[in-house]
Amino acid sequence: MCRFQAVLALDRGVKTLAFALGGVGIRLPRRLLVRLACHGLAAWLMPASLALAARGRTVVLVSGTNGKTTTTALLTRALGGTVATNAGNHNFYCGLLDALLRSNAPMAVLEVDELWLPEVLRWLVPELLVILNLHEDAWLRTPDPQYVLDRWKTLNLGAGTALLAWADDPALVSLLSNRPVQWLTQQENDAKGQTTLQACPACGEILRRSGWHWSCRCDLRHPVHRLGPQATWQLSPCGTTLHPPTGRRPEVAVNPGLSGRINRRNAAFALAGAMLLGRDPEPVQHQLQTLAQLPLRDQVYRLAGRDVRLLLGKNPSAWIANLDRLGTGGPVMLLQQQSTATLDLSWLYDIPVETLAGRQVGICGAHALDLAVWLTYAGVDFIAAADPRALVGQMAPGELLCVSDLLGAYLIEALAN
Amino acid sequence: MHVYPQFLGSYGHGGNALVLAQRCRWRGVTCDIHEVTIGEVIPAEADIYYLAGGDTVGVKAVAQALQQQQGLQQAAARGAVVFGVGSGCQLLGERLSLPRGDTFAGIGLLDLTSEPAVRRRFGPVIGEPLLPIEAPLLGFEDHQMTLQLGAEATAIAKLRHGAGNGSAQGTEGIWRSNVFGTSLRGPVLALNPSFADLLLERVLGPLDPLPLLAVDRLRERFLSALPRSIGSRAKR
Repeated sequence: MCRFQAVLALDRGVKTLAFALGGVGIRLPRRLLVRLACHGLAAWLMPASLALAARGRTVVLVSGTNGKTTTTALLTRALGGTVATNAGNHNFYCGLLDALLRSNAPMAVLEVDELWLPEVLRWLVPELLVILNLHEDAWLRTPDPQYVLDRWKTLNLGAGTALLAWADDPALVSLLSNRPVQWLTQQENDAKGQTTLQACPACGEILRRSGWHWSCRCDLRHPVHRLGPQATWQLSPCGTTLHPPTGRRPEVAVNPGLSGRINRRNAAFALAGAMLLGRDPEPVQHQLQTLAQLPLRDQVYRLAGRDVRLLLGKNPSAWIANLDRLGTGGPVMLLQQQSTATLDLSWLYDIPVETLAGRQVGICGAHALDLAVWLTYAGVDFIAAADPRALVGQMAPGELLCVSDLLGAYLIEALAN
Repeated sequence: MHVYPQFLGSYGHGGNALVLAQRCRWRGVTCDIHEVTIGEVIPAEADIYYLAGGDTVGVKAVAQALQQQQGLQQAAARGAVVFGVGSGCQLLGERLSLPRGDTFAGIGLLDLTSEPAVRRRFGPVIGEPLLPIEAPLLGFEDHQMTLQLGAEATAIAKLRHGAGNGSAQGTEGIWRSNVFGTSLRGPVLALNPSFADLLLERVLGPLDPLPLLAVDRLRERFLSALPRSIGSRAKR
C-alpha cells in the first residue's frame, strides 16, 4: 500500500513537473515518465542505501565470469557463523542490498555481477575482493572479455582492500599488475587453459606459453615469473593441495564436498580467502567438506522417480568445466531452456561435445532444436523429449547427469518440487 | 585448413569447419580438418581455408602473422575456397581498423575495408541471397564494425532484416570468385546448409541435396520467432 501511495505521489509530482516544463506530459505518456522517474529514484537511492547497509561490517566481494555463486557459497561456509550473503544469481544492486538488509551479521560475503563490479566498488569498500576469471560468456551484454576488461579499468580499489585473483588469466594480470595482489595459480599443463587469452591483452602480441607459464615481449608475465613462486598461492595440478605464500603454513589440503576439478579451484579461492581474513585453515577445510550440493549449480533432484544430478552449463567455460564431471559411460541429459535475447546459441559450438559420442544422450528444453543440430554435426546420437520428466523415463539406468542452462535449472528445481 | 583457431575460434565460429567436414563425410567424401597455428607455415595445398572470428585482443597477432605468410594467397590464386567469418572476414580485406584506433593491413583477397561503427549491432539477420543459393540466408550479428565493399566485391545477401555490413546498401557479407566472408554467427554454415554446400561444390562439383530435418525445423523456428511481417516475407 505504501509503495502504491508512493507511486501515486510520484505520478502527481511528475505530472506537475511535466506541465511546469511546458507540457511535456502531454506529448509523452505519463506512465513512461513515472517509470523513468521511479528508475531514476531507485538508481539514486540504491547505491547510497548499499553503502549505508554495509556500514560497520566486513564485506567480501566475489566476482568473475564463472564460479561466483559457488565460491561465494564456499567462502560463506568457510567463514562459519552467521554471514550475510546473496549467493544465487542475485548479484546486482537489489540482491546485494537485500542480502545486507536481511541479516545483521557483522560479515557479508557477496557475489557481484562482473559488469556491476566497478559501480558497486564506488559504494562498498570490501576487506577482500576475489576475482576469479574472465571468460567468454554466452550473454549479449558481455560480447567479449575485452568489454569487461575495459570496464574494470576503472575499479575503485582502496588501500584497505586485499585482492585475491587468478594468476593464470593474462587479462586479469594485465589489469591488476600494478596493484598489490594475492595471486592464486594452478600448475596445469593441459589444454584447459585455452579458455584464457592467447594474445597479450596489453600489446596484442602472441603470448609465449611454456606449460602453465606465459609471458609477453612487452614484459607482461605470469606473476610467478615476476614475484617468484614463494609469493603466490599455488594450487597443485590435481587441485588437492594449496601451497600458501612463504610465511604462512606450508601447505593445506583442498578437499571440498563439491566434486570436480573446477570446484577444487573454487574451494582453493575460498580457503585462501578465509586465510587472508585470518581464519585458521583446519576448521575451514572441515567446513568446505560439509558443502556437498549447491542448488541450481550442482545438486541432486528427484525427477520422475529418479535421482538426477544437475550441473550448470551456462556458457562455454562452465560447460567445459563440467566435462570432467560427466565421466565416460553413463547417460547424460542436456537441457537448454534459455537463449540470449537474439536466440543466438552459437556458443554451444565452442564445447567439444564429441566426447559424449557413444553414450546415451537425451535432449530437451525450449531450445532442444539447437542442441539437436549441434549434436548432429558433432556426430553424437541423441534422443529427444519435450519435457524433462518424459526424457528421464527414457534414459538408461545408472547415475543420471543433466547439464543445463540456468533457466533449465530453475525448471528442474520447479519440477522436482 | 582451419587457420589460427587458437586466436580466431570463439563465439561458436569453429563450428563452421565442423559443418563443412561433416557434410563431406555424410556424402562419403573423406575430409580432415587441419589446424595451423601462428608460427607454422600455412600450406598452399588445402581445398578450403577457414578463418573464424575472434576477440579483439587476438586480431593484432593474427594480422601480423598473416602478413608473413603466402600460403593462403597462393591457394586463393589457384582457386581454393577461402571463407572468413567476423574478424576472419575482415582480415581477408585490404584494411581493418579496430575500435581502439589500431589499423592493420589485411591480406587483400577481398576488396574490403572494415572500420569501427558508432554502435554495436546485434540481433537476427535475414538476407535474400546474392549467391547462387535459394534459401534465405539466416544468422545472428553481434559486432561493432562497418564493412565497406569496393567496386570489385559483391555482397552475399541483400538484407531483409538486420544491419549487416552497416553500409547504406543494406547488404551482408562479401564474395569474389572463391573467397567468401560474412559477419554472421549461428554458426552461419550450420544454419545455412545451402551456403555450406556452395562452398563444398566449388571444390567437389555439384552435390546431391542432404536433407537434415533438425536444421529445417531450426530455420523455421528462427523465422517464426521474428516479427510476423519479417519472418513471413523471408519464407517466400
